[in-house]
Amino acid sequence: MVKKSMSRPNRTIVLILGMGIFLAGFLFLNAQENRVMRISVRDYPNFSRFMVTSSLPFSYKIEREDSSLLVFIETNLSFRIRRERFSSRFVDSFSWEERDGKILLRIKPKHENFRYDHFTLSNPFQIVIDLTPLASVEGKPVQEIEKGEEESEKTKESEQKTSSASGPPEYPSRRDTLNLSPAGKTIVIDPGHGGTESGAVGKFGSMEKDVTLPISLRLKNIIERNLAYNVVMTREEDINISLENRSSIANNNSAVLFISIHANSSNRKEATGSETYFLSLNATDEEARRLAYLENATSSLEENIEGENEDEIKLILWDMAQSAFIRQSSMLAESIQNELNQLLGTKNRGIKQAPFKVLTGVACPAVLVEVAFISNPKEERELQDSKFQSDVALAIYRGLANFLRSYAQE
Amino acid sequence: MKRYAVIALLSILLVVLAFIFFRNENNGNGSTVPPPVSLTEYESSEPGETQEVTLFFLSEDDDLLHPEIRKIPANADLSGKARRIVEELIRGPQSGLVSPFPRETRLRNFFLTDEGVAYVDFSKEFMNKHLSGSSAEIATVYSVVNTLAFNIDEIKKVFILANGKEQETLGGHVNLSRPFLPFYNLIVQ
Ligand SMILES: [Zn+2]
Repeated sequence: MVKKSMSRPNRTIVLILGMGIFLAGFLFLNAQENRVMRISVRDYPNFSRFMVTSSLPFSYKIEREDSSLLVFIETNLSFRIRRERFSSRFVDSFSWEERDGKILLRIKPKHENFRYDHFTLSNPFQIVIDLTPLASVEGKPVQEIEKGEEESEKTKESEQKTSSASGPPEYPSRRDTLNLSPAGKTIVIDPGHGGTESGAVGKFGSMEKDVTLPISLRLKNIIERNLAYNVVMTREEDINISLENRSSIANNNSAVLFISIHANSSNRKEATGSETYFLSLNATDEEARRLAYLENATSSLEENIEGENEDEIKLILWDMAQSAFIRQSSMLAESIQNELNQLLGTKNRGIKQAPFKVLTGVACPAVLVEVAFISNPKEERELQDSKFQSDVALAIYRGLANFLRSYAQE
Repeated sequence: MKRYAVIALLSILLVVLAFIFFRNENNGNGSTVPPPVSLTEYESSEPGETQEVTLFFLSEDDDLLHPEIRKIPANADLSGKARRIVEELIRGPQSGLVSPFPRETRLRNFFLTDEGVAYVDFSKEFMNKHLSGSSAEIATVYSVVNTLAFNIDEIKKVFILANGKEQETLGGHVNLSRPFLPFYNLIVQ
């Protein structure tokens, strides 16, 4: 009876509405599935950085509760939370729970006495929380770093003396590995070009790819003899490696430094000398804002993304990665250029900036060293000379070691 | 009953279409290249009427870009003027400066967007006859970029293409996959 009382058009409307709501709901839930919140922790010499990266922005609130830090994330959207494995000197652990439709993130630092600073970045949206342990009776990490610092200072001095004294000048004397920074960290050396990509070619026919490799191998050797860092090479033989793969090698190894080795070429016959470059940004407004923010923030932003389905976030981050390290990269460039000027007696050249593809995606301080001009016949011959190659490698080593020392002190 | 089935099917279709429509509207502004706004041929307005432009080339004196003043036929059209400037640039210097361009380079195409991005499309020789090398590539790129931005205020950025396509780098070093801002620090004071 009830059925019959409902007229035909009414039934149709109810049916359409019902189907519509069902479908819309279904599709909406489906679309929500790719909302991902990614949590990562990264150590710096004096603090640890806790980062929450999300495809959508949200508001949040931070509170301290006893020895923990609580982050209330205000959102009624559901997120998949992905955590990256980490081991940190200052962050012990973190956990999250959902409470009244909010996400509550609980960060447990290893020390009760700590300071925190936070700020956000956009595109992708990120909350960045820096945790700095404060010196206290149990403020061990700080003391350890300082002690390691002093030691390295001493060894560095004596080592420089030996290398400038009569003995074999090629490498600094072999010593027990220094402790500039926790072991297990990586410096990536990138010998420019390779394979079918020969780079610049000199008047006598020598190719850039053939001089960048031996210099890079010598540099690797010196670093491994003197510092506790691992060295990873982007290539160790004459093969093609894409520019993107070179920066990926740095990022996938969580490199602390990236040094790309090249030989220069110019249409000017007179062009000679060594130059060290860091990246110049063709800064869009967004990049400029981000950069200004990071210049003001204590240090730098790093992100090491693994995993699938986040190509977009990955792309944006990779494309921007070096912009967060411009200041440190300029310091590294300066430090290396100083040594090159001294060692090679070249006229005083400043550091330079250029939009080099190989540097753009690198998420750590990164420089490109143009050792000499292969387009200049005199310098082309020098580039072939093994003594010259060793001298250059030694100068670059000193520059980066000086940088690491002053950076660790910051 | 048949009628219900048809209505149901239609309603599903409608909802799906509506969903797709709204979704596209939300994240529609992707990374597509803006369409060319003007692609006009340049024509000199009055015969004999000229204007001065400043071209930037290399010099053996130092590694900076040096100006050379040159007269070109006056041209009211911006794209026309820009084309002429690039053509003069790749023709090379007349005052003892050094050209950063391969001799065989030609200009294939040029257009300027409303946002002030100039697209300069060189022939393939621009790349495959070019010296690979950081300094050589930097000189070439900023000769083009600084010259265009210096002479035409409306040009804010320059995107360099070769053979009609976006290229990764010029010769293995300088990134061509993004537009360049002028970099006047490279010009001699
Ligand atoms: Zn190179």
